[in-house]
Amino acid sequence: MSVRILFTSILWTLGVTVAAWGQSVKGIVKDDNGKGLPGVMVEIRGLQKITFTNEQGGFELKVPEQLQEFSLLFHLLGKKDVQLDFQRDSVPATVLVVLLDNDLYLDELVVTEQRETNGNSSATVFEEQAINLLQAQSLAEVMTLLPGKRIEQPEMFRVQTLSLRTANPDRNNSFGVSFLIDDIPLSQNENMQLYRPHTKGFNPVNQRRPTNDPAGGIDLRTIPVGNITKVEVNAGITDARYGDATTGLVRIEREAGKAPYKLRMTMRGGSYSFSLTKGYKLSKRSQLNASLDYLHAAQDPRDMLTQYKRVTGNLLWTVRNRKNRLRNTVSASVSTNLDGEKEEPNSPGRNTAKEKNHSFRFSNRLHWSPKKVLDRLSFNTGFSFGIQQTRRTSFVNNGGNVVALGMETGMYEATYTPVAYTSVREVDGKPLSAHSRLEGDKSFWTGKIRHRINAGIEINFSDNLGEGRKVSSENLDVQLAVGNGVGERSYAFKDRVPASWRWALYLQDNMIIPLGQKELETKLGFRYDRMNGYVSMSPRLNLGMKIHKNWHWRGGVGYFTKAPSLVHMYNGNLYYDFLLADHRNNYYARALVYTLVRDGDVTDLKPSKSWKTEMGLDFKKKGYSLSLTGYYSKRYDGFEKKSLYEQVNIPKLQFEPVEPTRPPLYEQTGEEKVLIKYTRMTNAHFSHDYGAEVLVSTPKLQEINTSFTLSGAYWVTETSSTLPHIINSNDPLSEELKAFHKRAKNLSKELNLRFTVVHHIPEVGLVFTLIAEQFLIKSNKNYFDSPYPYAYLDRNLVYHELSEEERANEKYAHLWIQKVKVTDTHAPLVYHNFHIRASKQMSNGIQLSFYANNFLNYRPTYRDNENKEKRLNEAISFGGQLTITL
Amino acid sequence: MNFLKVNCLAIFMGLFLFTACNENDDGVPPIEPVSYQVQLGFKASLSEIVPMGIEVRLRNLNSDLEYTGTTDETGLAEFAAIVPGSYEVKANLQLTQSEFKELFGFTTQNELTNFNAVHTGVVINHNQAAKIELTLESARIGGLVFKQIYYVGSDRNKAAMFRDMFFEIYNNSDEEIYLDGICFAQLFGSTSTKGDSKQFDWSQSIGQTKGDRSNTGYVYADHVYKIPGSGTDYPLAPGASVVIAGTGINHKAPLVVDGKEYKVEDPSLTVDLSDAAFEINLRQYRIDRGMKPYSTDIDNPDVPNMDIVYNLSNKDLILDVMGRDSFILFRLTEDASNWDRLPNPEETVVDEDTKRYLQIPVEIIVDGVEINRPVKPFPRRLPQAIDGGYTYAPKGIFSSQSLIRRVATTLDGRKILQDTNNSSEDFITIDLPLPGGWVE
Repeated sequence: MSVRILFTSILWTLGVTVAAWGQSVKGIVKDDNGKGLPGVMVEIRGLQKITFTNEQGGFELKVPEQLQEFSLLFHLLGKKDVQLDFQRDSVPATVLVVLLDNDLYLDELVVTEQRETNGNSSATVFEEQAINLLQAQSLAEVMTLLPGKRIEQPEMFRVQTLSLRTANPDRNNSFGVSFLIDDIPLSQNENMQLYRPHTKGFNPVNQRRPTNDPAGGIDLRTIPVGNITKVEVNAGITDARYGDATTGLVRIEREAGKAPYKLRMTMRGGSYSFSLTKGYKLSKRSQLNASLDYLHAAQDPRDMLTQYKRVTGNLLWTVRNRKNRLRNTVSASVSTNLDGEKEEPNSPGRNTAKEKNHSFRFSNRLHWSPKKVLDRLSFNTGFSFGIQQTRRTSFVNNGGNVVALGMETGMYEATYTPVAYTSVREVDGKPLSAHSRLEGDKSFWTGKIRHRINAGIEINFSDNLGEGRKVSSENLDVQLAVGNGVGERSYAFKDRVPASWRWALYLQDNMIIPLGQKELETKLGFRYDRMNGYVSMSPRLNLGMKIHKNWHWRGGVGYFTKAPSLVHMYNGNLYYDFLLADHRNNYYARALVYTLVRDGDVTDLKPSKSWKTEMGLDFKKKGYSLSLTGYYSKRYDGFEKKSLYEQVNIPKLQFEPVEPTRPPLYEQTGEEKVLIKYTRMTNAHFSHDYGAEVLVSTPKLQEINTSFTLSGAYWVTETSSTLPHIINSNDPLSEELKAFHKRAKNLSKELNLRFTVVHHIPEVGLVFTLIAEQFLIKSNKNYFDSPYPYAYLDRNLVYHELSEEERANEKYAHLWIQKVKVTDTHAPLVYHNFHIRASKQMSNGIQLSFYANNFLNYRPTYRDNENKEKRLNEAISFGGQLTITL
Repeated sequence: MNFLKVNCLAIFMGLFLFTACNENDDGVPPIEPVSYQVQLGFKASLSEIVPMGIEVRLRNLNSDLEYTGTTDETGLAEFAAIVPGSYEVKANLQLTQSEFKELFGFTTQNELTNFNAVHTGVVINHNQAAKIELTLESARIGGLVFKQIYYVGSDRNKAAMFRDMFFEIYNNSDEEIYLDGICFAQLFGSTSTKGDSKQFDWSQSIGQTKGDRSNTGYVYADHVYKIPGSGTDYPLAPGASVVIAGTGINHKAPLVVDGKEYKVEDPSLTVDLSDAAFEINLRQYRIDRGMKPYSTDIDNPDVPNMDIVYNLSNKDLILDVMGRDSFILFRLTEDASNWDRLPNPEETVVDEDTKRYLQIPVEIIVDGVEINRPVKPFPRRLPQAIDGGYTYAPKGIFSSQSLIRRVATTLDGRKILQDTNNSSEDFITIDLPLPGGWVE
């Protein structure tokens, strides 16, 4: 039904298309030596209209008749972008453009975070120089520059995920951030590197060195920055073409083009990295970029387990046809970590940990600009495959644990582990994902209204072909022995986890509607998603308007969904293994086990959702800019484990000794009630986020060679869940067993400001940056509306509701919540942190950079509620970077 | 040695009796007197010791005639001339603790020990035997004591770690004692090592009702296990002991699974507990409380299980390998749920995570041993009266070292263990545990 509507609307819009390409703009692009620059991309902003300069630097571009004013963007890898604004009636006969090297000798340098200037969104953009001067080793450091975030040295031995616009980061937030590299989604949905998910939830196998957080989003450490030209982070209302994200979107762009060898060596704390890039011109219209990146991170040089090493290789090949109508980009990337089997420092030879993570990604993007009908037709395909192995061994000396291997409900004789042995926890995953997108762009006018339609179809495929988790009695992880919570059996992802398909259709119309003297920019989009059997229709609307000379107003509202990943849905059956007897004497050992099987897969999990709305005001004049954004978002149906209790009967056996050499005979004399606890993934988590973000920047004030930027964010997050909070009675002899409380609410607030001063002397290629962070508010309040339970479960597992009067009765005091669970923490003082960075470019192609975080080593202390001394700010840390360009 | 001491006592008493006999010579007997002998002996459990120099009195039941004699080095009191008649024969001995120790060679818990021997209606004349044997009886001497405590476990990699822990209860008395209802408790207390060695002020515990007596009159336990039985099921003879194991199997022996043998790397470091009298198994306790049984809870069908009175967290008999436990024995004659369960006094609020400890009156403690360490000791958990000192295994955790009580003396083949209420004195360490055994 809805599909039909969508198609009808596409046909309808095509029917009224008025394509009128009129006058041409001609010009020539040169470098600062006056030499023509070939291969420069020239784009009419706002339209998908692109051409490239020829061998002499010349170009010609037809501009639609209806366009009274337009902007041209000139872009070439390694050069600073130039944007020129034109009035239709005053376009010069030949436009002359000079592109300068984007280095530190450049007069105008963009080295801080920027607001996206194109469109109505509140996206933050990091250009190549900003990333470069940051001396980053991975995307993790870049993301610390987002407004409101703190500049800290990311713990490189831990997974680094990105959460946006929240004062209380959690997995649902970071899982809802979608990453695109060169317009191809980076998928985490098929990562299943979880161990004992029924019991441990999302806790990783290697607690101390979690290199994987399947339900927590993309690991920023895995993304090197050596070849990135632009990063755009958008926590606002994204276009309809972007789906499968409830929190925000990170777009990473890379580019192929002729470029010299560039070797970059970076040191940060105990970590060092190398990156080598080179761009080749294969032919007039064909470029190849190659990059190799190595990172060796060690948080604590004495502890092997905190090491993280990765190697990434990238190839990017772009080719276009003679008439510049067809462009194709192929990219391939191989990434591997070099972390072998490591021994725990305190138990040589006994306990080891290993994490293998190889990944291979391939993508192809084809753009075709046909002469008629469409401005552009794009076809993207992406494919990625990984080999992930998490392995941890430890010595176990438990005297032989009982091992239940039964796959069906029933009683049986179980086997044993060895008395003392090396146990193995292992998860073997081979995530496989594919993505394909076909879309078209078309600009046209209906009367005075300018339209740009973007419509397309997107298909995503996720699967995991790994061997999964293996359970055997010989090397059993002792946590899986009978009686340690929910049992596990071998679970081969390749056999048990079905492939998951998601597809979406989208249509967006970017309109410019004249309203008297003003123009209303309207981006109206719809997205139809089909995820996991659920259909969602997501409307998106962004509005923008110039309200006064230099003032621009924008606002938007949108609906977003995020599909559950495989690991949310497929965890295998739940096995409750009950030890009925473990009889051993000098002659025999016989264990009797009763296994109860429950279905553990949650195939009916709904996508998580969010409604987001934001409003902003921008001011721009002569390089001065101010951007203010307020937002409110409601995320709901977030993924969370739900605890269920079920009373089950297990056999009660009576044993009859025969003779000491034989195990006692037994017969079932009845049944015993036992309480079992289920955890099932469900849609219960919700949060309300609101706040404001500000970004103010000045141009470089020539008199003092200095520019200033102020950015900040105020975030308020309230999270809770629709599930109960279940506690145990603290009295082993009480009648009551478990008490049910309403779930606690968490209210967090954070207000951070960052002031950046960039002193730039282009004549000597020197940039000096001083960053002052101000932390004004940081509070976290966890509270229960009532300390009293609304119900309890007695020793016979009978559920009792408590009336309002009963709840407060002293006789239930052992079921009250009074302590610990209520926390109200906040940093009681306003404090700062200061960082400096300096970069110096030399004429011989060498650039030297240095940074010191918290260079004053200012670490204020305070006493918290429990009178414990807390220290703020990280200790002073240094690093540097050497870039050699040949 | 003992004999000599008793001899000296006899000489002293003999001088006193000599004057008494002289007085007797003054009267003229109306009837021809007879001679009479009283052979005095200690009760069976002490029969090796000869009661020497003890006054024996013969009182005529029909007149106020009374004779007094003193036992000699063979325990014999001789009376040369007794007027025939019906008599009460009687001997008393009251010993202070030090006199008791001097006489018998071991200590008693009682301030004074009274021995009595009495026989009424003894007819003394020419036709009757001229000798009577009389036994000095007393209340039970001694009681149940910890004989051995093995709390450190054996090598965590090569042997059985926590699994082979046990303790041994010994009947140090001269009478049979029923074990039914005897409880073993692990005590809880402050683990502060600040040096001031101040135990919690339990009077500050939320819910405390015992006021001033909460610190002196009670101890607080986190785990209590009881010997089962209806009252007369488990008699323990004098000089006999029972081993109570966490897991009553032979920890040295391999586990055979489908023909494959798995054993610990060095079985010599651990023990055979398959002969234990009782073991601790929490399976049923947990099921009764709606909880899943634990993963390792080996049950030897040949070894009866202890009753679980109170269990806060431990998955078996797990004694603190660091020595932050003290242990007591007491007899439970009522329902423990009548007793208060109180939180650590440092807890300012009681909520669902608060652990609570069972309050046990000091006066019912049968024996107690304070475990501690000489360096950075923890505050004492047991009153001085129960254990004036402390003991520990100096080789530390998982060292296979065991604590065993010294033998004070051996009487008639029965070993009497030293019980001075000072474990520093009463216990020695042995490098390998000896369940039910003795140091040669």
